Amino acid sequence: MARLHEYQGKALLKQFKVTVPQGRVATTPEEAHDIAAEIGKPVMVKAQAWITGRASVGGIRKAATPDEVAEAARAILGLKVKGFTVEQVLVEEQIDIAREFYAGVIVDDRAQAPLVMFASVGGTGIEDIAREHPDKVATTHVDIEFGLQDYQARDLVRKTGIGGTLQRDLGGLLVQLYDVARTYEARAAEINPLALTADGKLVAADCRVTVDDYAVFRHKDLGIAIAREYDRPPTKLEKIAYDVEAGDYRGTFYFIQMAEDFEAGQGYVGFHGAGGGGSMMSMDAVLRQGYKLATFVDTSGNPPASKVYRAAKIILATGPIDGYFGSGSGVASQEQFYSARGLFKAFLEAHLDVPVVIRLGGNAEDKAVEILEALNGRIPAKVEGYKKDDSPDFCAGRLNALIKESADQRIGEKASAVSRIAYHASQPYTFETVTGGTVTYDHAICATCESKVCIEACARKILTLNDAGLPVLNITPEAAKKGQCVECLACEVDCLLYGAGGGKVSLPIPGLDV
Amino acid sequence: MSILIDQAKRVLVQGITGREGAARTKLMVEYGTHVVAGVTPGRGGESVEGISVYDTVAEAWEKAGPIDISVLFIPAPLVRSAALEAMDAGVKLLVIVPDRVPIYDVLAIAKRAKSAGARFVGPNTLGVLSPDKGVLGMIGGRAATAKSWFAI
Repeated sequence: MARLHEYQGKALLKQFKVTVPQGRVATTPEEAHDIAAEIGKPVMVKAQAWITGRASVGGIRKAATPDEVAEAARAILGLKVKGFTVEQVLVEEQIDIAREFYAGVIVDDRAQAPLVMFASVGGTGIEDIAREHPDKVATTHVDIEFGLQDYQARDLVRKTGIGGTLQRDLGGLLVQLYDVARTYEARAAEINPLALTADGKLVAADCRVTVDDYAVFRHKDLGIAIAREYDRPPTKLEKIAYDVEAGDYRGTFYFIQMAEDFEAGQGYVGFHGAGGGGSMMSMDAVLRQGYKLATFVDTSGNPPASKVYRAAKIILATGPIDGYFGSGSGVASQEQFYSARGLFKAFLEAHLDVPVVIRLGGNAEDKAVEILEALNGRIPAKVEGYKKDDSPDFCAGRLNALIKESADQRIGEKASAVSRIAYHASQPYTFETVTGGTVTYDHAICATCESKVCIEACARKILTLNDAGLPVLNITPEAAKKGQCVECLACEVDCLLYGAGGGKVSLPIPGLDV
Repeated sequence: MSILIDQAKRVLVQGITGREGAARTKLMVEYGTHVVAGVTPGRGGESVEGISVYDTVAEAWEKAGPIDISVLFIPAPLVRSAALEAMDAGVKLLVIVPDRVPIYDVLAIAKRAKSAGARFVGPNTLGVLSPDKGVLGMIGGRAATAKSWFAI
């Protein structure tokens, strides 16, 4: 889930009229100094990090003067907590807290409804307090169509033993909090502590908001770079991968970089799964062979070949891996040759020279394995494809054997392979695809093709032979670009394997230097 | 025994002209599912696998007859509207295949289903299959493999 920093959450609360301490976020001690001078009273300097217990690691400090603030900011900025480097501090006025409460909204999956929670006590350790004093906690489900009503909120507060104007004010605040959660589609929105100040005002002293990953696209104003839960800022490749995923709704592409700056021979394997459960089982199988993962990747939900291709290219960009292991669900419903084509194209272009073992079990697996194994002799790497009856452990064992073998070979002579030839179409026929790709046919080559395999292999049958017997679109280029061309890559891979090799698909990956 | 799907159930495919919709309609029909209509806004009058495409679910119901089940192959951001449309038209079982549907959209669908007396499977489901009777969604891929994997 995409987590917001405290200052971002507070900005949303403020937008919905919840009172938050006066303050701003700073990235340098100087900036923090100036904010404190602006506020003109003692402040808190708070690390903006996605962790709990910031105070215990020195991430929250009090400061009386702007100079003290600058010093505190200097100490906190750059602090490493749980692998996360603090890059921002929130500088805000200190508040005089008379009493603390807890207010929260979460999505209750089981009840299929939002759940509003209120506790007449707050602060650290709220979970324990709630367990020990259930009478101090009240919860209610919300009708998604009508939202949290004021009377429901007040009654919730009443149940914890609070009356009078405080009950009314807290009720109003709960409605505001719910509206923040609903508007920004939060899986969870919490104010803890919710402070009652000595002068009788309710102030959100701290807050945590996590936004539903799947709804982030509707809230561009939140500036969430990657709609996923990370305990550290995303790497450059993770951002590139996420852009691929966000720009193509077809199928799922999940990418986590597990290692950076490694060297060949250190035992790092590019891991490429397909389907959650099978992927994890397969990942364990590689780990059991004594390898480390450079990536954990999942392309599933019937992604187009182009998405699998881009995933493979990004995996290969992580560094000098010792091998590439693909394995996921054993009985995938998706036709596996699409993934096989994506992998084929990526490995061919990379002229991959480390062993590859891919298990593409499921629908049309024979065709998938045939495509993959056709890489042998075309690239220096040895490629083995497996099917649903081959266990992940067996396949991981094969990868291990191939890596050991290739290490021996490296000392001697490496397997030769066909060298890459730059593609220059002398009689180009081109059209564009939905993700910014370009399909090019060199009609000079197509004229020599006997099989014309592209016509039959095209997933959406959008190609036809013209009067001269050359492949052209049977739909408009605009329709192809709108998505009628599903980037199945048959016109490149099947063309290369079973035709004359006149087709080529160029699929850019913004940000990736190739 | 089949509970949700058999040959007698009349099935609609929402998003039938899309990449997934078209491919999976073929699977469902070949397996034996009684697909009676498809819907894609703006594509009414076309046909997919010999099945008529309509602009709205209500129109499909009027012209193709009553619908028992709708299978949704719709991009996630549009699922909420499509699901509400199907339930408003009177469909009592939805199979929502796509993944990554925003959670508050799912809550809205769940609430409407409760008040409409409808049920839904998904989002993010492979679908529903009753061996030798019918399949909804994408389980098994091609009809031939689905039959060999899920034999009685």
